[in-house]
Amino acid sequence: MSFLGLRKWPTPVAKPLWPFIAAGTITYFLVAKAQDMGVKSEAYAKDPRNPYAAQIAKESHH
Amino acid sequence: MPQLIPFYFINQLSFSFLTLLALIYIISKYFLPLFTFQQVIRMYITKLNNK
Repeated sequence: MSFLGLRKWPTPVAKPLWPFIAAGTITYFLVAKAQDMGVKSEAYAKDPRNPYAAQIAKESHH
Repeated sequence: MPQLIPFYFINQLSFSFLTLLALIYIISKYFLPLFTFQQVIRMYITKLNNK
């Protein structure tokens, strides 16, 4: 295999990086929760740029 | 400031993580080993010359 004409070396990538990938997954879920809370907050729920504004308006009426 | 608006957080994070992973993979598989290879060759040349 080559990339721009350079050969590929058998450097281990998953073995030393798995803790960081695990931390990244946890961070992803936490940021998704933070985003959900922020998107539904009073400051941003009625913002016209908010792509979830219609959903939030429906949920708040029910 | 767009980076602080909540509905862009996951988008920012996804792009950053994917870019970082791609860069780390390409650099560690294709570019960094060339430096090690160069050092090893230099060591061989030095040792063979000393004998």
